Amino acid sequence: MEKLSGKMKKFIHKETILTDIKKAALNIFLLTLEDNQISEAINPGQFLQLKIKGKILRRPFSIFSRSNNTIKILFRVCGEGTKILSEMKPQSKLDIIGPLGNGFPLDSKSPLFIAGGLGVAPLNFLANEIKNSGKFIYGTKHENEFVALSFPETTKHKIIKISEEKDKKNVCDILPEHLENTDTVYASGPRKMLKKVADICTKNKTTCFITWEERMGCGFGLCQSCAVKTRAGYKMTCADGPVFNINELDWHEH
Amino acid sequence: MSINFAGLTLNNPYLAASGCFGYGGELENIFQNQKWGGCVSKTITVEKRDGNPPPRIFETEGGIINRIGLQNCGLTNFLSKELPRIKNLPYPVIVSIFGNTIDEWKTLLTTLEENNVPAVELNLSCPNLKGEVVVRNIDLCTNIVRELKKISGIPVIAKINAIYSPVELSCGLKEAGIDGIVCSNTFPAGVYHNGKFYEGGLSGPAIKPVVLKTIFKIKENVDIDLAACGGIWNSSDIEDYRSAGARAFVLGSVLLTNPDTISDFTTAF
Ligand SMILES: Cc1cc2nc3c(=O)[nH]c(=O)nc-3n(C[C@H](O)[C@H](O)[C@H](O)COP(=O)(O)O)c2cc1C
Ligand code: FES
Repeated sequence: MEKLSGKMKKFIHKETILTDIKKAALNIFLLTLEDNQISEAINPGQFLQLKIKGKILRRPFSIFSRSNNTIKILFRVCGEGTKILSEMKPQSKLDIIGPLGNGFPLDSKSPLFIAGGLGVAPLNFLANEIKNSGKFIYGTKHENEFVALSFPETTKHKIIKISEEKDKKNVCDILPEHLENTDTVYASGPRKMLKKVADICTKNKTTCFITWEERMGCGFGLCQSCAVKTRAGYKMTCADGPVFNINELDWHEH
Repeated sequence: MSINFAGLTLNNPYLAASGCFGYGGELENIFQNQKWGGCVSKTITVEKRDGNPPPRIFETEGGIINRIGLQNCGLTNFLSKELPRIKNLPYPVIVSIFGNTIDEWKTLLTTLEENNVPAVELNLSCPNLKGEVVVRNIDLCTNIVRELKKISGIPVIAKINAIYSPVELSCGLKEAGIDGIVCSNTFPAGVYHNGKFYEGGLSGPAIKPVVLKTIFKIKENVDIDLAACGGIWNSSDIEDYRSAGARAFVLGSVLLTNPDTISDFTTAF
């Protein structure tokens, strides 16, 4: 399966209107942007670079969902940039660039999604777009950190929620028991979790794609800020990723 | 708006800074219509370099700190992969180079010249390298330039740093035969990130007043083609640098904020 390439394709740089912003869970916000160009072009796993007022570096965000004329972004307030974003008012303007990077392959027959925390964002989008049904494992630290997923559970994917606080285990603990009948694992979440998922899938010989996060500058391969160690040396998260097959990365380094 | 800078004819005085615009040709199909006077490639070395482990970039008040560590594809790959697409651009790409020894500097220059590169920029001033920054050793710098000018027929431009004896160095470089000077590279700086200390180079609006003063002082003392580089964000920055004596204007960090800056600039003037 090939990653859906967006590399060096034309991307769109424009001003959009933020039409809605609401709290989705503890410290987590869901932001709606008015747009009909990027939403049409973007694949699950690709990302946007948002300009944040008063900041020099843009901030990369993956897409939580799209409709004909909106895109939704999910984010946690974890620094100054996201704080400013969380305080923006509906109808304000936002400068965005996208779609950037490479997206997930969509041709899985029996997918398994495994999301940790905010990693749920790109997988929610992916789970909406993949035709065949499968399972969606979604874990958080605390119960109040779950956000509502936006695909119909009954007709799409079976959702399995785990909170470390309540269940005393995490998504990786239950992954092995769900791998049977899975042809592809799609993972997104903290690095520690991704490393474990990669380890489990490698041992089980299951195809697995992850989405990688790294601090970014430009977002399209020009500044070499977003290096990630792969088996072929450093590659750029923004232009070579952010979606990688687990076999591409050098996991000893992570 | 066309100017002559360091022996090069440029359609306008705006250049993309080294390291902020790839090797020059990557965005060919994305920003086809960008009206640069020219651009400077990412610094290349004889051997390919891996650069530093991540994280490599941070934001500070009014600036950014990078610690890329001169990751580049090396001379051979540059010639085979990057040069062909650079040749199709509607503006000249000045190739930035760094040598560990005088022989490496010479190899880079002669090879690029043989391959019809219009000019080179000597990166004498990267703070992201282990050991001493070349630019702190004025004799070494002037010696490199003197040796290179003996063998070169294309313009040789020096990229210096505003914080290491810039006036004295510029005098020396001029005597050695340099064709133009770009001031400045990033300033050595530090940042704590997740409790860990990282060193890197500071760029952006935070360094502009220091670079501005330096341009002014160099111009006062040396008659040389000068390009200003440091925190250029808008037309008033250009006016400041022009008043201080710069003839060309090099845009770096701003491209990370707004990759279309050049379009805004060229329509505004
Ligand atoms: C991400 C990044 C990478 C850079 N890489 C190089 C480089 O390879 N060679 C070089 O001479 N300067 C490099 N620079 C320095 C810029 O060319 C420029 O001198 C500096 O950023 C100051 O200009 P600014 O304030 O407009 O960014 C780099 C700067 C940044 C931000
Ligand atoms: S962010 Fe600039 S190369 Fe990836």
